[in-house]
Amino acid sequence: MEIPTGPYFKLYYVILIISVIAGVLHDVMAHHEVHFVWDKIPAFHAVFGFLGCFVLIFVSKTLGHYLLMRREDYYDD
Amino acid sequence: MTIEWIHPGLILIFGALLIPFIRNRKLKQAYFLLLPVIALIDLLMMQHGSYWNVNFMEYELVLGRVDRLSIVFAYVFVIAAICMNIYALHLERDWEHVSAMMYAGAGLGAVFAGDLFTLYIFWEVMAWASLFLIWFRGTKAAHNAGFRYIMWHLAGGVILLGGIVMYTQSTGSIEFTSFTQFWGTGLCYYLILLGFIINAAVPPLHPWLADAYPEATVTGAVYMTAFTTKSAVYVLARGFPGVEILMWLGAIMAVYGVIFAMLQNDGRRLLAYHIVSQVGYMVCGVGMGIFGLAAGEMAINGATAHAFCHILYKALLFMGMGVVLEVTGKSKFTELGGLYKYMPVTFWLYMIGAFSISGFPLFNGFVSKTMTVEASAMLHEPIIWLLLEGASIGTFFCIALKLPRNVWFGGEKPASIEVKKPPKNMLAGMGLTAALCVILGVYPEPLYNILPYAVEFVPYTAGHVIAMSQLFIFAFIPFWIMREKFRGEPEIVLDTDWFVRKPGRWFIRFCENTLIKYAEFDEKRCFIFPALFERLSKAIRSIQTGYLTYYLQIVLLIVMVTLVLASIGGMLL
Amino acid sequence: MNDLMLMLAAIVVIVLGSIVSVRTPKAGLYGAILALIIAFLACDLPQYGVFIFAIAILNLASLGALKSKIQGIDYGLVGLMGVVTMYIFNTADLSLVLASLVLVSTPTYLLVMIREGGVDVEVGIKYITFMVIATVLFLIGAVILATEIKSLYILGYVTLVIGLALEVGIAPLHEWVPDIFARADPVPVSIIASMAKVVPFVAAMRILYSTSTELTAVVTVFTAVLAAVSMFIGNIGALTSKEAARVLGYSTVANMGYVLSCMVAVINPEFLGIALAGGLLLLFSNAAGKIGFLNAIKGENAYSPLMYLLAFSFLGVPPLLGFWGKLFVAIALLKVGYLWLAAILVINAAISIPYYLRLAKVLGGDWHINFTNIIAVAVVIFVMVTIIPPTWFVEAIETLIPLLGLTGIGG
Repeated sequence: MEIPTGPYFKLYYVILIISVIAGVLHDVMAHHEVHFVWDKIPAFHAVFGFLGCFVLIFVSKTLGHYLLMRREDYYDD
Repeated sequence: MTIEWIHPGLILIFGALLIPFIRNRKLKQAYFLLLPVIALIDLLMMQHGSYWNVNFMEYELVLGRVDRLSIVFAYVFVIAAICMNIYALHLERDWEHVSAMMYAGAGLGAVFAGDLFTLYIFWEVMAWASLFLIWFRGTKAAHNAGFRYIMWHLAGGVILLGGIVMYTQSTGSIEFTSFTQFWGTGLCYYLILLGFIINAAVPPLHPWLADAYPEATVTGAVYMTAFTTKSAVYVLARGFPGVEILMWLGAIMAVYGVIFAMLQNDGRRLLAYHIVSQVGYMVCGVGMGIFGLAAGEMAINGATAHAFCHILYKALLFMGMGVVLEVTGKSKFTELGGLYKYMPVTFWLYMIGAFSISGFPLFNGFVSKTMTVEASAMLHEPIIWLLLEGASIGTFFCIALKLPRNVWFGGEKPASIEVKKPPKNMLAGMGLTAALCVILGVYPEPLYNILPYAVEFVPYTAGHVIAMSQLFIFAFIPFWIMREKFRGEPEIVLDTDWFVRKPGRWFIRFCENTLIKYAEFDEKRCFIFPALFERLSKAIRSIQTGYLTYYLQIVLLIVMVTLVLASIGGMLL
Repeated sequence: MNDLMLMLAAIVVIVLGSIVSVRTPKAGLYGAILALIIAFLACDLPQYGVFIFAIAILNLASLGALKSKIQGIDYGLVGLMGVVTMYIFNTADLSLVLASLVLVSTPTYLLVMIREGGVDVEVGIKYITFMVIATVLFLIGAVILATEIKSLYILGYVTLVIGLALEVGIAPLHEWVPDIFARADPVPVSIIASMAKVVPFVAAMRILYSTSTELTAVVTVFTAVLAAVSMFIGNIGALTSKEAARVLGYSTVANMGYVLSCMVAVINPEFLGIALAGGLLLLFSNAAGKIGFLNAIKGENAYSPLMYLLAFSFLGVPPLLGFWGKLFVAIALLKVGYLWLAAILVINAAISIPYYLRLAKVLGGDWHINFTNIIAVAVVIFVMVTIIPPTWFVEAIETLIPLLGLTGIGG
């Protein structure tokens, strides 16, 4: 798949990298409370955002196309 | 005599009734704007306490319970009403204004109600007043959706009333306090909770919301986003804080709304499903609000703060989509696209709402949503945390990415739609709401100061900011890969109302085909003695000659014979 | 006496409202509603009062569909009937009970004649003739029973029951019913078929209960036979009639038969509570169904699912109101030893299926928002309140049984 390279996208890549670096640095340097196991994973939110989004898409599209979506006059008979 | 307290809800309700009598249009508009402002001034001058205690039969009604919990909701109701009134200022139809203000006033009444009976009255007024905001749309779809809407609320109202009556009978009191310590001890608490969560749109009892709100008028839908569900959140926070089932229902609700929103084709329906999702955070917060625990206090604060912020940004989002509907007459993704050139201001104002609802740093969703999520972390509930955080991703995905792309970008504007200029007051209303979203996002202290418990939470830590940024920045990648899959599809998505609507059809069909066939068969064949039946029915009908004298003869004959027989019998026995 | 004062206040409110309503018809409506609220507050048995209140409000609402010459006063008359009906359990005095009967009966003389923009005297004469005979027989029967002369007991009993039969339309004294239903305007008929039926039954029940002797068990057979005849004649007549209003008339005859059958429980006071509760629920479900169907005849475009639900309530499909009425009456009949009557009741419920369904089909249509449908929705909600089993109603009625006896009897 082709990777987009517009000026906006360049900016986006920069922000992406900054956020990951900042996240990793924060995890290493700052001492923070650990509530769950995944709080120890560096840049966990990045992974979670990426995978979670796929999971949501997968679940909703599957539900929609196999079960829930009907033509617009479905209730009209 | 000094007046110690005036009910702001009644200001709106009775004030609204004067609107149709003002002839001058400018004066009418000024009055319409002034109404919620007066209510706001009234609120600002209020002291905590219990006012307007009325004795009714042997019970005490409390119309004004002002405390830290109720005042927050009252503030945001009134502030939202000001913004919405600006947005709705151009309307020609007086009665739409009246029903909107009565609806808002009833919301305030429900929030200030200190007893269950008063609560119930305002609860019903809210349902009926909002019904007209749907019906004024005037389309057949709105008509039918409004009918289904009121049926849901009537059912909810009856359940609530049943619960209240049983509660009053078993305890002898109508006071509306926390029921948490009695949870599980009687049917009445379940019924009351059921009545509440129908209004809070908790799945599977939520379909009225996604069904009716998109069919309401442009401005009516904006009002409806604020009052019904949020007053339900208030009563839950008042009556059932820390009831564990609410925590689970809320977290499931947050994800449920998101998953259904992703499939929608109608812009306003997508936003409506996000109400379900966002109210999920609040319900979850209420469920975690265990009394006496730091995490519980934070959860209640989070739910309250989130209700406050949610009313503002959700109104803003509906306003944005409402402007699109107003100027193009369309709200379906399959009929829209490429509008950025024509309405950039609307787009940017909408995006402020979109970033707020996603919980982006510097916007007001961030300062409230993180509180609830943090509370779930403090309580060590990993599943709740994952569901809430996951719902954030979907929220960002739908509202900040899918909807804007389908409405404002995604190719050229379809040739079939004409873009009018939006009325200025609509944009002004959006502007004010957007400003409030940003101000509270940057400077949340005024909000934190009025929350029910003291706030020790700091939203702007490096950890929170980085976490939320990462979440959204990385959620963008799947969207961009799959973006063509998320164009609108001209289909509807079934929801739990299927279980009511389809069996309804089946019921009619069953009656008309099977039962009527049976009835006809029964009439012709089933009587065991057709000849006897025929003769009997002929005899019965032949009496009915229609002549009074003839009837009198029969009646007098029967009376005489029986009386004579009775006398003889009486003498013999 | 406090409640009597409140009732009188309610009646004064109605009278004032009716007087003012000569100029502004709406005043009669507000007066009637206010009076009903006052009467409800004075009602000793709120569980019963709330049903009557709802029926009265439905009656008042359906009067709104009729532009009559006495608009305003008709509201007052309905309000009066509602107030008196709520009062019937409050008093223990025979003369007040009989007065209540007259007070409920007389307003219908006027109501039955009103029609769209005029008066139908012919219907009025037919109706009033029967009602006068009925009321006189009822009063004579009550007086004979009150004397407590043993040799006259059976005569008194039979006279009272015949009076009751004429008053509410129980076969074979039902001749006026199908004619009035078919001729008069549906709106007043819906009032006659709903509100006017409660007081005669309750009054008869109370009088028979207070005067029962060892002869009651014998003479009750008369009531039972009358009830059975009424069920059959009503249902067969309804099955073979074509006109919707006439079908409803015969359906009333059948329903009054069901209600009359609960009177046999007088022979065993232990089961009087459940019998009376069942009879009242039958009266309420009959009232709701008649209001809904007759309004559908009056207006047009009633929504067909609503009509089917009403039909189901009449048929006794659980958990609708009509089911509980029939169930409680059948239980009471079995308990007091009238097995055959209970069997006839069940058979008749089965016979009635075709015509109620046909009625629902004829009167039903698509959904529209109009006056008829608003009434229909209200009525359907009314018959659906018993989704929660109405054991609370039976319990409330059972607390009443010790107070059912009347004073002023004997001597």
